[in-house]
Amino acid sequence: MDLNLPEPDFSFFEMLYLSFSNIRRRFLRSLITALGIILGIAFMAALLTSSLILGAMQAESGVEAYQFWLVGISLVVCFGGITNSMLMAVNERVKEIGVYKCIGGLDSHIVRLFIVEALLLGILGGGIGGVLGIIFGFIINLNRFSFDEMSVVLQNNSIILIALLLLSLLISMVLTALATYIPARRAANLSPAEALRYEN
Amino acid sequence: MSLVEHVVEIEDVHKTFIMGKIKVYALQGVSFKIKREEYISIMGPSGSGKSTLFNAIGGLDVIDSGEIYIDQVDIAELDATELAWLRNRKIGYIFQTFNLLLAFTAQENIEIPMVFAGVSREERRKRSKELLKIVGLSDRARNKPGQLSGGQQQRVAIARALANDPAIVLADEPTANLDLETGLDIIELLRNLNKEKGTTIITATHDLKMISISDRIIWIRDGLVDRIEDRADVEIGTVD
Repeated sequence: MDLNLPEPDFSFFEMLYLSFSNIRRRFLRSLITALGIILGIAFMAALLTSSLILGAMQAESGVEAYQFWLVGISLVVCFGGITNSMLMAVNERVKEIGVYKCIGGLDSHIVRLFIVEALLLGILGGGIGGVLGIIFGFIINLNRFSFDEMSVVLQNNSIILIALLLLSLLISMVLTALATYIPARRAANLSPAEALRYEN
Repeated sequence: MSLVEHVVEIEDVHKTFIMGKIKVYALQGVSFKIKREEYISIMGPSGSGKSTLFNAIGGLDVIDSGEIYIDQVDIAELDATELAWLRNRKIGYIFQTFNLLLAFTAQENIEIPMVFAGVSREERRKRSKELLKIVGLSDRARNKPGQLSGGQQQRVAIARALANDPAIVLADEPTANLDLETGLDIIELLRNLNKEKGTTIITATHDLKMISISDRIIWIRDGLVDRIEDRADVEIGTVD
């Protein structure tokens, strides 16, 4: 047997297509995973927006210590929520990884496939979560300040808001990718038979 | 290349599972050789080590000791990439539970091994359609596994196993989840592939319907080869 090994030509678009099909088939499950990400990110973005508004409104007294605590907690919730969603999502698909291995998928192919899928969810969840978070951060302060006052603050700080959106996207993408990479890598390292036998 | 007579050679293969504190000796020194274009059934009661042997031959699981040669290549010496290559092009797998990818249509399931093999899109389309025709499912190309019956799913799995024109098709209990008639259809399909394409077929099974079409039957008992019979002997045996 001559083992001339051409590096499989596995284009990005094919990967995107495979990942997209997987998300579509598991639409409900993907939706729940995405909701986990959205909630985590929205919570964080809402508290950061709220801090921004409070900071601007109470210029003399400055941001109070408890607000830092809240933002810290929101980050922990966000990390925990996303990591948990992604770990569960990969864990219930170890058998599928076994099938990919049986039909000749390289470990790196399989891991990349899962990462692309996670990133699609991460971008979606991070984007929606960021926007919802900013809106919520605005709404929760309506009882304290008037709509117009806060609109002015947000307009003056539009760059910070854009940065906040980008931060939401970044955190969401990094966390989803990382929380997928670790279990997917571990599952892809199993022998195909072990992966197929895996029960969750 | 020289003419290779044996496509699979197994030498003194051992495999032990540790289940808690109990050691299960699944394979305890199995040896045999399989010729090219043979149709082999590995038979034995459940728990005899059939599936473990199936996984070992297919390079799906690591063994504790012994040697497995596929086309004279010792698979223990292959690295992860070479093993993936072997599974991709040398061996096609068929499982009791079909193991299709549920997110994809029948045609896509057949195409995915070709995607891993780097086959171009047009070529994939063409070959997957041909394969669907061979297994008699041309009209089901766009159906997902959930919309297919067990027998139809197994046909898709067979077409997928053939995607990269492997030298060997390994089938683990391919008829166990099917009713009698569908099982017979699948057996006939495998037999035709063996006859027409010259694919070596190795099935682990306890389906006695397989006996009449196998060239040889390897009986496994308690992790050892109990006996190896030619079909002719078995048929005489049943007359006795």
